[in-house]
Amino acid sequence: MFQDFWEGELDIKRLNFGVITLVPKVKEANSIKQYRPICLLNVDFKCFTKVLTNRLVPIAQRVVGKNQSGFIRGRNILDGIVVLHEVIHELHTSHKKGLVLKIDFEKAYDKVNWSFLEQVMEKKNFPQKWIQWVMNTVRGGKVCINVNGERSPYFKTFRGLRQGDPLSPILFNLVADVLGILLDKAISKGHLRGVLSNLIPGGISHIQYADDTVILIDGSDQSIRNLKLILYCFEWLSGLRINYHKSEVYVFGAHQVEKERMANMLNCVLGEMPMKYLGIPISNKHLNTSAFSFLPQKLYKRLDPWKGKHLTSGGRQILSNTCLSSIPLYCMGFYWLQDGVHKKMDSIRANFLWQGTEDKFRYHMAKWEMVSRPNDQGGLGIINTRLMNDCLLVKWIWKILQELDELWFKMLKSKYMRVLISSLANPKEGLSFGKGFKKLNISLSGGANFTVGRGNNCSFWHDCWLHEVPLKIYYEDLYRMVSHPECVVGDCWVDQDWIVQFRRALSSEEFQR
Amino acid sequence: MLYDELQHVSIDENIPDKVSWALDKTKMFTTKSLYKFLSNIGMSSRVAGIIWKCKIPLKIKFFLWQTFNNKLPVGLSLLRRGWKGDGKCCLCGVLETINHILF
Repeated sequence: MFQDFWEGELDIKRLNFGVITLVPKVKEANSIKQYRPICLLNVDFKCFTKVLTNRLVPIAQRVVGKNQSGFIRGRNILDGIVVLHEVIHELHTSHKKGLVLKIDFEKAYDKVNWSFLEQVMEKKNFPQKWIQWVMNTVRGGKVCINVNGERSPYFKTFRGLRQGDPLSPILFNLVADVLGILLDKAISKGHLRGVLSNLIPGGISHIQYADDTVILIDGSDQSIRNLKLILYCFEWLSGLRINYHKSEVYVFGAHQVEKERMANMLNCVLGEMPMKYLGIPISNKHLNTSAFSFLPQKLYKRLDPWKGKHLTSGGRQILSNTCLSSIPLYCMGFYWLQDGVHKKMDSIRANFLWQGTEDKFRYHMAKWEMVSRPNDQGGLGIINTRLMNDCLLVKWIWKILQELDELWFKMLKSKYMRVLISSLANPKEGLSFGKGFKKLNISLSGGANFTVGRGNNCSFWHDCWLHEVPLKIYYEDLYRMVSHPECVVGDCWVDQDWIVQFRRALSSEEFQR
Repeated sequence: MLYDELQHVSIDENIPDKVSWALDKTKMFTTKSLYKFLSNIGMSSRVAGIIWKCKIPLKIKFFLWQTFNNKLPVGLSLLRRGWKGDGKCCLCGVLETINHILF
């Protein structure tokens, strides 16, 4: 069959049918808009689309623009958030004028125009044969709708990518990428100006995660007008409709009246900080505990449905680990949460573990500290969110050390200049993303071993490079006298020789050490 | 000593620093390995290994964990937490402890 498909002789349309299941987005959904139509395809057909997906994935990496962080190997959902966070922070501190527009596409996947998709692939130089294969799977599908277990008659669709098809996310990326290309072109022609062109050459104009798009421009009237035109063109080309009522505008460096005027020009609502992008709150100011109170609430809500009284103690142990502990992980991958938030989450998890969801009080027989130890060390292996938070953030240090060629890294690098690591270790005021890093460096030294080359990323005293332990532990007595404990290895290499500065001249026996 | 050791290495401006991760076999960073490393407080419990590896229902494992760590809600420990009961064993009237009930 695959051979036939390769040759284009297989009548794939006969396999191509799906069942749309409506998944409610909110509780008690009664309007059709409040449902998420997920299209379930049959397995044989999915084999074909999966094969196509596997072939497309390595290529998508090169074809799709750097600002898209969704569904592409090697890019992370949090990458875009880092960029947005840093842009907002920079706009706030430098009092520059800037406009952030968060766009909400209306039922994005279901409205993609097929002939537009075909054109995009042609323009991106995909071979004709490939386009034929893809269009064969996309076109001519038949779907039916599943309501309360009963299926409606099958009908044909004329646009849209099916949610549930493994190929769809990447095809959608191709479509969404066109918006990025339009914006980039407008910038290079001077019709638009992105923000922070002092940090990234050309400035940053947009960040995308699949259909979640944030557009960043300077606040001039010309830019806004041109942006509207571009968005309108894109709507018209791709079939995607922008929901202007749900889209939000954030303006920086302008008065309230001016802000509202800009929002009116774009026909959008003026949003309030903290904004939420991809489920993570982002603000220009420091986020306090109440900004994260949605996390404990989420935990609490999750508990409701199962009613813990029907579960055994072991079941509650498993559930508190798999369901409850995993909720904050995503947010912890970006922010260092305050102790108060951790405490609230701990108390919800502890209550659930010992008394289920009943209101009747039960004694908590063991300290939470003991419960959260790993299994083999006398605990129940429930995740310690404080530790996990540290670990997840160390991952960023690790990623920074890799010096990847990604937008977020360039951004951080040009913003924090020379020595990225040590400047992250001493973050400036107000940078909530970098705040946790000082402590984290200690955790990092637990596992990272440096091989020194240029010596600009490796701390002389705090990182492991000469020995398996940091030099500050190996030469503890010397470390106490060092004049610059934060220096990197490269700093100590002057004129082909090692010069380590101490606060006083060393005696001869100290020098021997 | 430090000075002597430093003599063996030199800085090359053209080579970027390389970093490897010692806690994972693949030498790439994993959150799991770091979490394991950080949560290791250096005490291991002997029975723990046996309890959790046993092929018995989880609720029994939980019970055994409570037993061995003296965390069962028996009379003695409840009294210590300010429970309003007498904490006596209802069969023999002695103070209820884990050893008394189970062994």
